[in-house]
Amino acid sequence: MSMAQLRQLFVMESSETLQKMEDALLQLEDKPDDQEALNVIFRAIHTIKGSAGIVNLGYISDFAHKIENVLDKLRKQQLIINSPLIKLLLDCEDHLQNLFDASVSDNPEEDTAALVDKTSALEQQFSDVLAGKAPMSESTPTPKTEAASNENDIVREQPSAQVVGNETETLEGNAELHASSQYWHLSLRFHQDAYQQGVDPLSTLGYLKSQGKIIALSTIVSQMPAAAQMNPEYCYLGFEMVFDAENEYVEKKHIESLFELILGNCDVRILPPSDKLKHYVQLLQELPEDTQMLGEVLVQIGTLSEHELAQGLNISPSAAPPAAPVVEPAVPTAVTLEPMVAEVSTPATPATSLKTTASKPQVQATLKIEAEKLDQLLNQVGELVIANAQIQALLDEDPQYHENNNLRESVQFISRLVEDIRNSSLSMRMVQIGQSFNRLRRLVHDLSQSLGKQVELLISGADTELDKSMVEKIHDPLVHLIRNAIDHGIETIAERSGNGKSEKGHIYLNAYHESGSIVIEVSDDGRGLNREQILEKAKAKGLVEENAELSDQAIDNLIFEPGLSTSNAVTDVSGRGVGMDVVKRNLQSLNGKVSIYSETNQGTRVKIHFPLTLVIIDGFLVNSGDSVYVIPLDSVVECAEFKTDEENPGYIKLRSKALPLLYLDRLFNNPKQDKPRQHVIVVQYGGQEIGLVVDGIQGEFQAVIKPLGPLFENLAGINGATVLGNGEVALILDVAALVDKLGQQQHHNLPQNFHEEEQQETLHSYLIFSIEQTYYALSIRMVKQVLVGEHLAGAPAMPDFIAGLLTLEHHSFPVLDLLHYFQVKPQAYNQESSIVVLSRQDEEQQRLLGLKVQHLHQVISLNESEIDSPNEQGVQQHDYFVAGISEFKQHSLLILDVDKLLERPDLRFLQTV
Amino acid sequence: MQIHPDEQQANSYHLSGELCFNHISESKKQLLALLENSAEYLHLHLAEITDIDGAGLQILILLKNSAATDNKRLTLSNDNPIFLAILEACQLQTFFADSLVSTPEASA
Repeated sequence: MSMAQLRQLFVMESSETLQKMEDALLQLEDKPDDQEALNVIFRAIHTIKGSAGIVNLGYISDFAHKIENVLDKLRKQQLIINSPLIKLLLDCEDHLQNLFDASVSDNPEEDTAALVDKTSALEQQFSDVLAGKAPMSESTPTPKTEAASNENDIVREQPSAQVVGNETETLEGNAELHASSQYWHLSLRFHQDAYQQGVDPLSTLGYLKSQGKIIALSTIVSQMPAAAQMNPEYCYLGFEMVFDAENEYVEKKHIESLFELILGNCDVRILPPSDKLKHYVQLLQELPEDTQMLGEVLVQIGTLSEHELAQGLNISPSAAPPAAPVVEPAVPTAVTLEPMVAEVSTPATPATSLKTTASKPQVQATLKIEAEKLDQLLNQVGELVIANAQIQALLDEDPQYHENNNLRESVQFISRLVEDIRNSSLSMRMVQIGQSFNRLRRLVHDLSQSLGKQVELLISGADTELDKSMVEKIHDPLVHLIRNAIDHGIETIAERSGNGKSEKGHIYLNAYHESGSIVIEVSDDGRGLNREQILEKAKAKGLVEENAELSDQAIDNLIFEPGLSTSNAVTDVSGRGVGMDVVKRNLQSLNGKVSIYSETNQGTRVKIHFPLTLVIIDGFLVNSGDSVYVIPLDSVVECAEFKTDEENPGYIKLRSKALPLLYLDRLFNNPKQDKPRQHVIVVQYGGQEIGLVVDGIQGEFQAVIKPLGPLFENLAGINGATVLGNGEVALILDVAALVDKLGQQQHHNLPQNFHEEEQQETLHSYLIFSIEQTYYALSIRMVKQVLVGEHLAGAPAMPDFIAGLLTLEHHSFPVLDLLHYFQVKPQAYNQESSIVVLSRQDEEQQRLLGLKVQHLHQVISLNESEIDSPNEQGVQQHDYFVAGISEFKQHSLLILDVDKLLERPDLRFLQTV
Repeated sequence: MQIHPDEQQANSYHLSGELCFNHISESKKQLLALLENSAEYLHLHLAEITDIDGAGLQILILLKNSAATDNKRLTLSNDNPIFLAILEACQLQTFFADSLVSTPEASA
């Protein structure tokens, strides 16, 4: 991207920023103590200051810096806001806009030079303000600002005057003269064998008519020889025409492509609208017909005016005397035609391309649409989806509908169309994030240079798509993050080599999708956060109490607090303490999360996580009580049947992982229903999985997200609502919030992940079962599976306490009946009795063993400190195989040591089975 | 293309069928022969022509050019929509303007 394009972008964005600043200024005028509005203004100027520096507009950056100084005093309440000051600031805003416009005008040097006086005038006023003088009094500023606005008017007229000047300048050079025609001029000469090749000039005309509009045309028949020489199978026709491509942005190559099929049978010359006059002359001279005659043809069809023709033929650079008629060859032979063929496109091309790049720098096959219109379309599509679902629901109830095949086909067709429309209108809003990323390259490049650092930006996931509005909204936060990374994170070259790092610092920018959300990581390999300094500053600012003890993570998060900057020097780039709080606010407005990980001397990683909220989502319909809920399908991992013996366990075990459960009926206080079967929907967000317990599953559904009213805006766990086919309202679950909610509870309860905890050996998870009022716990590490009501094969020649043989995955293994073995009163098992399949690894292989237990409860986690050694409690009966004792529901809980159990003489045989 | 002399009027012929590239050499010969055989005036009824292509148009142009060279007068009936559409498309109405008539000129 060139600097000019970069500036265009800067001006576009900064103009928006200025608009925000203006709104805030006006707001501030009404409510002078509105601190938030002041912050908005400060941030706006700060952003402009930073960005202007990046695009080499130092004078804007300087100017903004001066404004910022005043604003800083206002923030620190060393200055009082009054309306003259507001006026001055508004003036500055206008002036900034003028500076922007001038910087991208056709003649930036001159235009900006015209603004210099105004800049110094405003700067003088600032010094006055800072010195406590002038605008504080009511009288002086008014004439000044008036004078200023007059200057503005003059300045605004400047560019247009400049344009006129440019034009007159070009008119002076005759060779650069342009024809006035606003249409394309096409010149066609068919080869003699055109008919034999199946090309008919008449059909070509018909084709061109379908591609655009033939404004005027002249058929050239002068190449036709006399009857005797005329070969009726040869083609002697040609056309000169004025063609309207009916598309402003059409390029020469598009017109050329119209002739692709006949190019071998026809010489085509194309002149773009208002091409240079000399190209027309060139055309006239190249064509086999009489130049003067052809010129008249061109005048006749309106390509050239008579004046232009005369002028053109006079300036004709070649010495060919236009007045003397060139004798036409009676029979145009292949020889005379040959050189023309070679010249077909070459002569006009350089001029054309120059011309098009000059007048329309970016010819793109894209259309700019107001975002509002697109939103409106999406809204309507949303309604369409709902209406379609309604029709479907109504028809489904109609018995005749199912017999009427034609109707059914039509309805299905419409449904498919609706879905297609939905998808394509959604995809209209999707753009690749790469474009936004690429703008950051320049930022990195320029910033690192101005700071004397070597930094390389490494981008991955540039093709990740997300909603257009999102791209715009995350751009500012990204800029701030990168700026911070370069300014604070990456060390100077000397520092880096001193620390044994490569001289070149790296910033990694990575984007990826994760179950319906977007994750963007900005990481650097710099010095990491200086926690001491952050803490010190935070204490100085009163953000943290003087003697507070904070974890590293908590300190790291302090940088998201407003007004905290660790940099001692206030630079162009960053350091005024705006930045990270802006990042956080912006992301929060997108419902996003931001987290920061830092390691001293290793680098810092900021991870942004935000939902890919779109207007319409694919949802998963579930019931809970009488209500219907929609879970965004993207976050659904799987569905499982909810089988448990325990009343409402907090966790279930799903494939060697504990899955924390959230009961929707309890969460939303739905009346409890006796459902024979409940389901667990496994959802995930941010790498964390939880199970939602629901009463029923209805299947997939296209949900149009309707925002909840302001009253319900802050409702946790609900993202919005949608209307079902039957007119009912269903709430859309905010999976991120639910995962978060459970995550918080979990902190006190159970680790998220068994394996991690096992390695740390501090927390263990146990499966709890009971036999005759005694509770036992088994380390979950051993548990392979839990089976209910499984049929056991008989086990001949085995002791009585072996309940039978169980076959699982082609392995047969004995099942030890613990009730029997513990020889408590023999009692029939109730139906709830279950078999816990244990898996043990010994030297040779993995061995399986079944334990038949009376009552399965749930999985809990116990800290080592919660487990007492058996001796202290004086347990005698089973202490051979009790590893420890804890408490469960006010009962003592015996922790089984299976290995010890199997060392008992009567069970030793099980070790080798 | 077939040629039938008009039964009521001399030097007047009805053309029918296609005036197209396929038999264009034959058509050229036939039509030029008609022109040669006409003393001063030739009228062609085009109403029954079912198709004309670029090659066919060329022959009519040639015929008109030749008539002019030979100082003869050629008129064409202006009642064939296909032909009229082609003239419109190619902006050749002016070229044929003096030849298009609704009925053969009685002068001959």
